[in-house]
Amino acid sequence: MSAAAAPAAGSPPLRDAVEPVISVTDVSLSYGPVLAAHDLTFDVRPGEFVSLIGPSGCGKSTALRAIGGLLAPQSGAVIVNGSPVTGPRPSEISFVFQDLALYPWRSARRNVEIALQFAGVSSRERRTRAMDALAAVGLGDVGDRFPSQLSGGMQQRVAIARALVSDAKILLLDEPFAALDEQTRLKLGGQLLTLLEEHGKTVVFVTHSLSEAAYLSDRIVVMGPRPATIKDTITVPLARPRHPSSMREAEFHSLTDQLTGLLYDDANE
Amino acid sequence: MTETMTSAMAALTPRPRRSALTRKVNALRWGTVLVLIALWEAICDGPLRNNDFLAPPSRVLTIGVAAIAQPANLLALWQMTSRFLEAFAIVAIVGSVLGLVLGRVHRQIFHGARDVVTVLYALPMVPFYPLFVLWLGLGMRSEVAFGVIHGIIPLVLITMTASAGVETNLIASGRAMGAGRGQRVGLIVLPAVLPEMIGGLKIAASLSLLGVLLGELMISVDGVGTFILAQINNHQAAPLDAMILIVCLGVVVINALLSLIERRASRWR
Repeated sequence: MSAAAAPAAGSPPLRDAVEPVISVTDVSLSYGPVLAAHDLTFDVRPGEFVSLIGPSGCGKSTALRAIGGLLAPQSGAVIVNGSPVTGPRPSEISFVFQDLALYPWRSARRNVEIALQFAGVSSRERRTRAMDALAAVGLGDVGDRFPSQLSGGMQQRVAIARALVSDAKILLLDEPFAALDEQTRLKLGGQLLTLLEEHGKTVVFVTHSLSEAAYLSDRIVVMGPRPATIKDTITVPLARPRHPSSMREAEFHSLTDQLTGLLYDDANE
Repeated sequence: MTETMTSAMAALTPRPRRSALTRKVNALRWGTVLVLIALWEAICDGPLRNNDFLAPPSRVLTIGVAAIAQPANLLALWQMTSRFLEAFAIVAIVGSVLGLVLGRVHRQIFHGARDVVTVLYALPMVPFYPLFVLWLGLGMRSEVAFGVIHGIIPLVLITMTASAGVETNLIASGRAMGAGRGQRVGLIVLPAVLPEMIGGLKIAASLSLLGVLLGELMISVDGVGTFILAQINNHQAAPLDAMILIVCLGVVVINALLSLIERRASRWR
């Protein structure tokens, strides 16, 4: 079920021989008596951008929480960098939540700093690193503003700066652009992609937007309705670096058609 | 030409609405106070002339304040103030910690404790005061304890409700960034509930003072309560009213100080 489709022409430079950095094997997850995901198996290789898509409430976020060590699997194993995940690993994994989870009483800079504060970094160093991270997302001049004084897109970028400020190589993003309009979402997504490539991050990205998944990902894990199971894993046939013009390519349209078909099947089931 | 236009526009531009509103509110506020004082003077000089319990403001300020400036009466004022400060310090520390613990340790503990504290909040404490005197003896200890019991319950209730309501994702993001339990309470829960907690402290301050004063009025040998009773027994309106005014003024000052802190802690809202 989770077998990757054969790479098409112009596919990203993935090598099956490379050891996966994240391995999800036969994982079932539940919230109390409710089974949220069943028998999930997929791998993510270093530097890869993998999206999880599926119908609303299908358990995509739950799977992401399990990778982040915020939820223990009922059965199966989540292996990150060769060892089972039993709790959060801030030095290896950063997490951006769907509602961003910015601390409203902290300025943008201090929101970014807190990730380093928990890690015991000195105040001078964390100030410098936070300003650098904000500058990297194009927010070098709003460090003193509170989240309520920033637009949705700016808040988004603060959350991403907070995830980038630590040296964690794995980034888990839970529908980070859900609250934004399609245009801003794709623009921010493109900027994010460039930034992540520069930082050499491995990304697992939860989204319900087919075009966003197709535009940003190396591979897409398509999940069925709750309890989530994996319907298919698709390799994106678009070359890197991506550009908005990639969305006009025939491969892009056939990919989104394929994804629509998979998700439409779910709706009929 | 441009200069003329600019100055003309400046002349036409109304002053910022907010400052105009503030001026009106201030005029109304202080105007009301002055009208009430004038009314008080007029009533005491007219229909309530020479009554035993309400002196006109002019007599309160001259005869009343002079009476309170006597060393024995200043001592009574200090006794009540020190008892209040001691009670309030205990309330602020114990109430805040207890509220955080009951709100955050476990969901079931919160629900159970909330019912108990709500019932306690509804209970009138006055009938219990003789028990306090029996347990703790006549004097300072029972009066402080009565101040504590009045102030601590609302503070615990407000703090526990606010801390139980802190958004789950704010805590989860702290966990994902490696925050330990102490860091989650100190750097996430505490700042999140601080505005509510200070609001609770304002209520607690008034009620603690009420508790101390009630104790002094009911079974006591010194303090402001005893002074007030003596003035009532001796039909001394001016010192009685002066002391009541001073107590009210004290409450207003405490409230203003806490409001100042509250505004600073709520800047982000």
